[in-house]
Amino acid sequence: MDSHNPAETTQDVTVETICQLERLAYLRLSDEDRGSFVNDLRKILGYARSLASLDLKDFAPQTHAIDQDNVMRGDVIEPSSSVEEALANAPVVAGSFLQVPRVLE
Amino acid sequence: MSNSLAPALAYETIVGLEIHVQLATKSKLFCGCATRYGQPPNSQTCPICQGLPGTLPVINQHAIELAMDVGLALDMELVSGCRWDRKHYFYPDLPKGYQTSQYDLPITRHGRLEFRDPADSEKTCVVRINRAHLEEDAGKSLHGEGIDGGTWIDLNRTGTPLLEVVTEPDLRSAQEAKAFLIQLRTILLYLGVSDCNMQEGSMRVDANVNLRIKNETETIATPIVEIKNLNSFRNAERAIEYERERQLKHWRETGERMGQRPKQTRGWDADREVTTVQREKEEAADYRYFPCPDLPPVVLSQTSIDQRRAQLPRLPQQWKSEFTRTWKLSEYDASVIVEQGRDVAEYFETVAQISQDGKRSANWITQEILRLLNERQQSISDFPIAAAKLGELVSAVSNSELDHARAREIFALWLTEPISLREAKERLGIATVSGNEVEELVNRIVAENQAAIDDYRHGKKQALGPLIAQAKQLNSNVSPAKFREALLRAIDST
Repeated sequence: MDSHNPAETTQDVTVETICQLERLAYLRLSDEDRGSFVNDLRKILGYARSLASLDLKDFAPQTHAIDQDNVMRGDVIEPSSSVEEALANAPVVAGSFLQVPRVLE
Repeated sequence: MSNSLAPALAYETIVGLEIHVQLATKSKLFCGCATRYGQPPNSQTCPICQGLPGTLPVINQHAIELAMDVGLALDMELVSGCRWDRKHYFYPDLPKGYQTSQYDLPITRHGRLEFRDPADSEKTCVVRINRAHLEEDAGKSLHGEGIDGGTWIDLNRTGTPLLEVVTEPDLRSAQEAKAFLIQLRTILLYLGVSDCNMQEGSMRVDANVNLRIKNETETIATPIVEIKNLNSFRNAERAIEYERERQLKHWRETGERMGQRPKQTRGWDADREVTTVQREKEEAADYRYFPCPDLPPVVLSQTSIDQRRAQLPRLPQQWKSEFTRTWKLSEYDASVIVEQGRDVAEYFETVAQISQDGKRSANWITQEILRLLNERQQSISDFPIAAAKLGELVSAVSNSELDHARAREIFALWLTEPISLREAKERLGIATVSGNEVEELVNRIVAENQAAIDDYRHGKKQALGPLIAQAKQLNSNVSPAKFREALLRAIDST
């Protein structure tokens, strides 16, 4: 298993953070955009951090926001989309396949 | 451990495995699309598994039950309130942009699995299981198929339930890894949670391998390499073996240690028999795991756990002890039969129950039937001789009604003719020889072979052999055991 470092979720946002996210999301941003994303993300995370000031000592840790569990279905096959429907939104198709630009492993 | 390259160097091979097992559900993990293999491309998808916005996944309860079965069989803790997490990465065959998986609250964790030590069959190895978590499969990419070498995507497999079993790095050789995998597959097959068909990708293995090298002053760990998508046990064994040698050589050349480079992912090239670099592993945080807000937790009540436990089928270990205890099989014979799967174990049990002769039943199965199944690429359920019939045949041999050679003739006939034992005997001219006929034969042979009888009386026990052969020549249906018995009675009484 990979290790998990909770501290990373509170690290400061820098241009390097944005570049790393760009790499992971296969995006390319301009320097100007990077700068504004740094500011926006800092504000958003700062706002989220205000949650830390809440007094939660009377609440048990929760894994989920909705007070529901075991919402499940039986193992029953239901009709799938037709191949035509499944491919309807694809910009490029090849026979019954979706086609994407060459992926290099 | 020794090595031809370096007889003086002490080192251990450290192996941990991650095994993806496709669960035997009819429908996908979060939608009602079928999980059938080999269907026309993109014919088994719906807005949920296509990852369209505004859809809501709903958990397939049977996938939860099958995961519980594996947890129970591997002595694992079942985690009530297990959580679903989104693991983000971008790849064309992952339409949602994340895989729904389980990160820090998997459905089961902390188990163990025992198996026979391949280096010493008297010993057992124990491997700790870190966890087994549920996740959905991705689609399939076919590279270089399109015009301009584009990639084709088939989303039929997207959303198929997988259980990822993760071991601790407790294995110490490629051979141990293979033995562990065989044992794990045997258990999964007995549980019926997966068909474990490796050709169809129902069971996929990744191996994490590194070395611990001891010199005079310290123990040095080499960087961990993950070998991906090993699609047969043989390939798993060979890839780990290759990696052991490669890492030893690399360490000698560079002295590189764990921590001096990121974890590397390599692929096994079965044709060239080498591992090749695929990528340097992204760190865990790069997957940006977070809890899936669409899926509520799964709470496992003690009642539901007890119910699953009560319904668990007999596991390989239980079959094995049953076979050694009730039918007096050797540990080895019992293992050979049990490792063939539940159908073969049940077949053996029926033959043994009918014939009341466990050892002979085992011999027929391990020496005749398994060889034939292998030659014919057949499973026991398609084998032309039913267990009850073989039981009758073995019983006839045990009761000396038939000798082994005649029994084999009947067995051979049964491979093509669906006839009864009585009919087979008639067809082959095998008649039951009456007691009187045996007596007559004994009298004749005693009269004609006085010299041999005297030899026997003077302690030359082997003198009886030719007499039995002679009796067999005179009447091919006579049972050698019955004739011998009658002959000894005659010798004693004169």
